[in-house]
Amino acid sequence: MSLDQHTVQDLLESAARRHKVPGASLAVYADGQLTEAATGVLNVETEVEVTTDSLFQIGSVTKPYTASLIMQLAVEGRLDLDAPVVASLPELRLADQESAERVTMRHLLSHSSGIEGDHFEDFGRGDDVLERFVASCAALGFSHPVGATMSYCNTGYVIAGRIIERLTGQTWDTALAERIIGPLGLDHTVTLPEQALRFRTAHGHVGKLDEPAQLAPVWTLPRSVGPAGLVCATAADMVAFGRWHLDEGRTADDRQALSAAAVASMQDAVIDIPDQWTLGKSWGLGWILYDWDGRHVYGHDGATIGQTAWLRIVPDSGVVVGMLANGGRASDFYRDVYPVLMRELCEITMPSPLSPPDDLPDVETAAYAGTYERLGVRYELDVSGTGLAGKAIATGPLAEIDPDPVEELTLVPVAEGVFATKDPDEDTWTPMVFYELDDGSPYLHSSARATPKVSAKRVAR
Amino acid sequence: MPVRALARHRSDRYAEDYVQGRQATNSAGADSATRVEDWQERLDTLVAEVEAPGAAFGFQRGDERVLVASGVANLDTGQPMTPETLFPVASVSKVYTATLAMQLVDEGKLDLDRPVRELLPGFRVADPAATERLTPRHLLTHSGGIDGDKFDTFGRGDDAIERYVADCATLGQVHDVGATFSYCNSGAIILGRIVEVLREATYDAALREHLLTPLGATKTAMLPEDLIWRPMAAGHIKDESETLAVFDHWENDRSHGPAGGVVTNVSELLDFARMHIDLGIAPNGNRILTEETARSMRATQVEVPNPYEDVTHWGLGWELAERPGQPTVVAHGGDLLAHHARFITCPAAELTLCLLVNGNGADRIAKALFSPLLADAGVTPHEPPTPPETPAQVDPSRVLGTYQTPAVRVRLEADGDRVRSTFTIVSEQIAAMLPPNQRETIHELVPVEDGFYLMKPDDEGDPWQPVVFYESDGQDYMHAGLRAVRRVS
Repeated sequence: MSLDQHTVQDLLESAARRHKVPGASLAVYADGQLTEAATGVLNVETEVEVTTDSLFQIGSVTKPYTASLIMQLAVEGRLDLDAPVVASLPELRLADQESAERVTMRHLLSHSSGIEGDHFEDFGRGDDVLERFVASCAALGFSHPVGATMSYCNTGYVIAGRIIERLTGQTWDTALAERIIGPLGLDHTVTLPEQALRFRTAHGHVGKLDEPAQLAPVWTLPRSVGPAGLVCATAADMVAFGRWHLDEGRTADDRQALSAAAVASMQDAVIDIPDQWTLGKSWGLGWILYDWDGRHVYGHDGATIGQTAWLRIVPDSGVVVGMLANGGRASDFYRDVYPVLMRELCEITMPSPLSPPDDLPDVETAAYAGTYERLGVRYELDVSGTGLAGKAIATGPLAEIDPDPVEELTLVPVAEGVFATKDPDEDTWTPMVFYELDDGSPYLHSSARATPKVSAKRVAR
Repeated sequence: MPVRALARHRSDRYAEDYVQGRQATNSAGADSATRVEDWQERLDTLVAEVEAPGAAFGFQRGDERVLVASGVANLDTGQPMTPETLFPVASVSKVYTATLAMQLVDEGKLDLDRPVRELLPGFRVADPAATERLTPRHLLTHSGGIDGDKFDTFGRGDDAIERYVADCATLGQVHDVGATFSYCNSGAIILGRIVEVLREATYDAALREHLLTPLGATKTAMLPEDLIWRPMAAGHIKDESETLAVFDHWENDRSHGPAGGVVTNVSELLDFARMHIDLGIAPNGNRILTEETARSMRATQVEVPNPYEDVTHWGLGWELAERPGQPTVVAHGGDLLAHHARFITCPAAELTLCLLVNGNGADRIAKALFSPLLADAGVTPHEPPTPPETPAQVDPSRVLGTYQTPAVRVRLEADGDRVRSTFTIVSEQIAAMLPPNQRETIHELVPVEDGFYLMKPDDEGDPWQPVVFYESDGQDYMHAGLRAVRRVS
């Protein structure tokens, strides 16, 4: 079944108002029909209205686009998903070269390479940014052994983008424009600000939620992030990209822009996500795979500086839902909109987010206390009552622009090895999952990233 | 078809705010001869007449400021044009570059008469004598003679201007250094590189720090990521079906920035002009230039050899129109394919006029709006010359022959009592950008008097282009479109 425009509009408007979202856009494809809605403003200073033809930054929803480009090249026989990526990119150097030479494209696209994922450096705005990014990775380590677990890896997508450049002889932007944006007819999808300028374009908003929204200090992330997160699009164009996958690689004008087999293989699980609550159950090639009510759903989320995006595809219902927002309580906003659409359109009850039970269980805590660290963050955790307490400390270049580099954490027990923590401003709990790799090494999984335990005792500071 | 019918109808908060705020911004008195409503009506009528998507117009006369806008900024989004809408002003940027250079003169960091090669180590053009002699003053006054229409692109990186200037090593000469005047984009870019080197910053960063910030021009910028915060006017051209459509191409190559990459709006252009009129003091009280320097920028430096153009002389960066019995007009226009800026000041009358049009028709609108204001200031606007009813009886043999620059070759042949000119683009770079039928074009020249011809326009209704033939330092030239073309045979 489908929903009429009024219903979709009301749903979006009321959720945006409730969660202080300055502006949002929603596109719903169901029953062969597209329904669009928009609300609020693109920018709180100019107060230009959001329309359904407004562009937002879709952030990491870009990753399935980059993955699709890789799949096209694989189908053309220009790369092997299971061959070491150094075969395509011999100059790739990482701190642990032996591990580096075992990384395959399948690892990169499924976030299981172990390469430190949050290496954000600005290499300017030139066409050489990805080449320079890859050259800067030589000191980059691994947060887990190659293929051993899942840890969200932006770095891997930039490396994949550089491989696209190498194989096509084009910039990632041009390759995407010629191989996907053009063939799919996505005339409201761009990657560079000079292309976005001719459209209504959203600006991100940041700041404390009990104060008026403030414009994000910069419009865009550095260009080197491109293949991991710099697509700008309307909700409708993002949904059209989803439909391309729903339609097994056929474009709207009935051309096969990627083989049905390749499209299907992108939805095959490569690796399980240790934290089953935050994103989904497992990762395919580019896609997050969800098990909702026993049904196969895939998609991706995105977040940039003050902008957020969600894309979900339900193949057995023929439904694609894309939503874009430019600030406010993003995860609560999503939690107000998507469950309604999934129930009405797909008869799916989305799993409840993790939250602690009323009666807190008595679980092991001492074994989990200690320091966990990867590039960009260090967790220092101690036993506290029936749970754990401590802090997450942002480290590295991002910490310098983070107004709040130290976050106090209170971990409430949920089940054995599973805790939850919450930002006081939001309703949604963040899971903290303690687990071991096959080799027995202890890890913490949170915010989609695996962080190894580096010392059993909290470092005294 | 009325262009605005294409715009989508939706209430736009920004537009409403703008309309409400407009009364406050405009300082014309209710009983003034220049009632805002009258200007609004005039602009609305003109925009409809020329079928432009939209236009923004503003003028300042003493303390009186009027800002109006009409139509849409973008036919796709339907956003209204307002006096705050950002707009690429193309070659008006050259005055910003000149201002940045003159600040360096004020600080004792730049001597306009010291060779460029001493400021930019390794700098050279194809002609060793030109490399030796070229100075910043030549660049500011379009008299260096280097080929002015080099439009190669050098990417989005911070090294774009540096790479452009390095690539000037093969740039040929239109005329010898200082021999005559020929409009020169590449000179402005080389000047921009001098600003980068002396300021140890990219051109756009130097512009922001040294000019835009002290001027209080918070919306003016160059890079798209700095512009996307606010609504901007899209350019429009006619597509294959003769329908006006958004021109989907960002025209501001970063390396061309110092010659044409500034994006601003009517309000901030008026502030920039006011700073120059007030001899270096910005409306917010900040001193941007010394009085002496500001004055020198609008003092005559070179004469435009073609006396039938609307400008007669060049200052340091500024175009000047100096006509007997009239106050000096200080100006600079700017044109991209789909964005057109007209920017005129008359310092003696403390008058600035500014018109931005995101489609065709800028000259028609400017003429109608500017003329009465200029007349009040004692300026008779220049009328483009029109051909005589019967062609003048002159001997064309004196002008026949071949004229050439590194970019273009012009062959003049007798055709009855007229002259036929064949323009051939010889620069492969420029030819590649043009459709094949524009790489060689033929125009009729009608004699007006000895050495002065008018070139027939392609489109009836467009002005005839004046062409003069003259000699300078023993070399024959033709001069048209503000460019000198040297006679080679």
